[in-house]
Amino acid sequence: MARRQQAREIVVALVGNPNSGKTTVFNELTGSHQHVGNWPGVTVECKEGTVRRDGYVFRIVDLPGIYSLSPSSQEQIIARDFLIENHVDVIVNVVDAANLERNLYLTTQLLELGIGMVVALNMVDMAEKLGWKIDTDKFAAFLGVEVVPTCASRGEGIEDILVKARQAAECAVCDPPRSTRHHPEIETELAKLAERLQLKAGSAAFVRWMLIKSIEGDSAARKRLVDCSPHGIRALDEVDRTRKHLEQIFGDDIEAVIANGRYGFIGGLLRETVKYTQPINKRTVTDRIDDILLHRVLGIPIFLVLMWLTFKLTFDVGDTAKQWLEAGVAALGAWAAELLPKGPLASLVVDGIIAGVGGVVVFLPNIIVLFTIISLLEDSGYMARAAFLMDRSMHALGLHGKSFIPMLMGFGCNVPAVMATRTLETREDRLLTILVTPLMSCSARLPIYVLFAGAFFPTRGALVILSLYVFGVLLAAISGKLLRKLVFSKAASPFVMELPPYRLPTLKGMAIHVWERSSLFLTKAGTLILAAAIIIWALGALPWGVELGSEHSLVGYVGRALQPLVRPLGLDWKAAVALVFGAGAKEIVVSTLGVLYSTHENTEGLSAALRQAFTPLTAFVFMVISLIYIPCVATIAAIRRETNSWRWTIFAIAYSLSLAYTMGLAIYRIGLLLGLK
Amino acid sequence: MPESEGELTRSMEDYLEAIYNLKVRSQVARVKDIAREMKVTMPSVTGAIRLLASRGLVKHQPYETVELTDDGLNHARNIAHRHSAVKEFLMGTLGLKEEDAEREACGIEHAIKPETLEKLLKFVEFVRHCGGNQPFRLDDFRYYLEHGTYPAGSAFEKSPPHRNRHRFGYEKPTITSTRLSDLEPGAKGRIAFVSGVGPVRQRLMEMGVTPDTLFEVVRVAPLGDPIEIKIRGYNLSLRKSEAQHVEVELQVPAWQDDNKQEK
Repeated sequence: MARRQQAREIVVALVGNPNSGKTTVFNELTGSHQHVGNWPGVTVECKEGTVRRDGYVFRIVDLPGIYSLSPSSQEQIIARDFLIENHVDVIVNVVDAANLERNLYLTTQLLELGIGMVVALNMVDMAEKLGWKIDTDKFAAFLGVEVVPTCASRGEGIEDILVKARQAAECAVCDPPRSTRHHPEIETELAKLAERLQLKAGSAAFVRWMLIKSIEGDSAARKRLVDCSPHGIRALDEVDRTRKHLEQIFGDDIEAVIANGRYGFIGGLLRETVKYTQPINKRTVTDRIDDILLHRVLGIPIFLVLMWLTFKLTFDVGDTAKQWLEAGVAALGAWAAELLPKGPLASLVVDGIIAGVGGVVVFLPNIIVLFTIISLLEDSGYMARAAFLMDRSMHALGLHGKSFIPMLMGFGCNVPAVMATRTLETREDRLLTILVTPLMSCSARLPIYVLFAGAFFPTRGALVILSLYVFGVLLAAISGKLLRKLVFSKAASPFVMELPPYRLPTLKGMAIHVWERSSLFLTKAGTLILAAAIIIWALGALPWGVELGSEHSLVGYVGRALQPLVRPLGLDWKAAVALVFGAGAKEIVVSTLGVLYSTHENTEGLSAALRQAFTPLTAFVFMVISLIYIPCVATIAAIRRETNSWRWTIFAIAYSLSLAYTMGLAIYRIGLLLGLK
Repeated sequence: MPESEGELTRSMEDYLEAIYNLKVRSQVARVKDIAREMKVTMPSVTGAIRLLASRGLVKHQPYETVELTDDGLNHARNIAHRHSAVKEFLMGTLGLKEEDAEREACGIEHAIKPETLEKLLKFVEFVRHCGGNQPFRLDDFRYYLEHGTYPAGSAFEKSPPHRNRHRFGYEKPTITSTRLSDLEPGAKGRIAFVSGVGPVRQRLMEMGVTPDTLFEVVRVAPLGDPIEIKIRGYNLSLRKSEAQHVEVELQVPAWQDDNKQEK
């Protein structure tokens, strides 16, 4: 019997700036052996993957792209916490060779941690094209770590990374990487502090890191310091005294001094190791493209055209595929109905499960197309330009430049729109956009408008429908400002954002990205939607024997129970029932009304029946309510997935319900006062 | 008004300031631009330019733009700084409206001695440190004037220190006249100071916006905000409300060697 060999595990933390090609490196390293989750309790995603080589198992954790280890954003806090709380064998720092100065700022901080490290000098081909010659050996000697030139998009250097990472992991204890030297005054003070505080922590390097960060005011480092010092909380007094002393000497606050120190070190490093064969400020291809894409006059029109294209592709191409899927699901349902004996089981399978699954799967084409496009826009670098163009108008609404795309997509379907909020960088921006996007009237609501507008405003139907769309946008704008003030009143996070050089996205990267999104949707959102579909079916089919969704079913009782609630809005229980079903999917509202008024597919008949039951005023109220009241179950599931919190999902539901009720009430009452009917 | 050799008349100072402001905003100072800026006739401008040139403060060829010499630039900077310090006092401390402050600053800046101005500058900084709403004691201010530091136990012990920097030999004026948010595309310069608190400041510095860094304004978004700058070899965009915190010193062209690499 062969003895199974225990592979040795090496934990690798992949760290680097956004746009440094870190994701490509991760994809190259792990291929399909990766999985995506969420860091607990937050909306930031966590990616992990494994690679096996020579009896070792590399567990690679892709930390979010960050510029620094200071706690100025959630991503940075997560990365910092991971590095100091968890056991990490080696850090692989992905550095963009064409953008060294800023990338190395993070590197200097990582070096201070005292963990074994390998620098992957990525995109060396770009650097060469810009005319820069980097002496890799000198570079490595200066930093005190191994440096691996890579070109991740071509897969070059990847194996080397693994080799060097293993070496670094194995001898991290014996040979910690050299730390950046700060100004002599600072170094002296640090040494004095270390002695005075008698800190007990992992390595000398880590102690130093704790001191530097504590002086800078990093609360996690300070907490650690208190734990590691016999003086306990009084250690912090010493730290603060040192800080004040240093500030007096330098005449500037300590963050600036240390930041300058780091950049000084980087400057020295670059002077020694990089030769510039072309003038620094030569205009690049990116600059020239931006002259057009960000042109004062042409920029926004070009953007709008691209958005229109995105919309068309997503919903036209997507919808054609959608129709096939729907047909497929219907065929499946019909086949199952034939196969199974008539009865509760058949109904459950056909109207419940198959319809439910169909309801999930039907969003896939839209999601796949949209995320292919988004992936293209992001990886190429255009997304940042879009945010740049739109920010002023979005910011006035309390949103972020990047909020534009999800909101625009909302006009087609809220589900991919909510998922598209992933491109927003901060939690507040993401949440706010998610709350506001469902107010963009999706295409599923259109049949409702067409029906009612056709029945009650035959001459001015188009105008009425347009007014609903505009109303939705206005509400979104007001909600944005209001929610920003009341709920997200913490000072808006900085917009300060890099405009990365344009790059050609890799097909592999795009494919992985789209696959991730789609499978996440299927698993996370899908289960919720399916569950909800079955519940709704149950409500409509029980007690057994009633016609599906009629007034004698459970839903009917629910509707009747809701009658007193909707009376003040001028609506009756049938409207309430239809609305309840609309929570499942907005398309169902019309067919439900058909069942309730017993006209089924007969639109003429339905219009006539509606004219008996509603007035133009109440018809308008109904339309407004269906615009606002609750996102469909699929959207709710998407919201749950993206916010990673039931609290916010429930808040979103509560917000739209109360907004709908208030608006409906207001319009009805004001309408009556004005003598309208 | 000072008339002796080496001292400038009020009128000459106004011209220097106008030329400097033009260069700050749009890099181009032709005779007709100066005339418009100062609301005088072109012949008046030509006469003044000739006078300034004879003092070695500007260079001008007929039909070409007016350029400041190194000397002229120094003077102009000082004048502009004085102006903005006085204006800051009028607006920030006394609460005047911008137009009024602008007008009165023009008058006051010529009337006071350099020493008085220095004290006024210090007072403005002192008030800045109060954060606008903290009570302060005049004695603390007087102490500061005399000793250059705050007395122990005063409310200011905890606040960030002044940017004096005389310890390391920098002789920069403590208030510069220009903020990053005021600049037009094409403006180049050096970051002087990053004010503000909290995440914005930290983020700016992490992205490389630190004192003494070279930058260039690339463009402004079509809707007027945000702006894009080139700094440390890459392109950075930021809102004007964030760029407001960044005080800069401009490199007026033809005195900075464009190819000199600050690396």
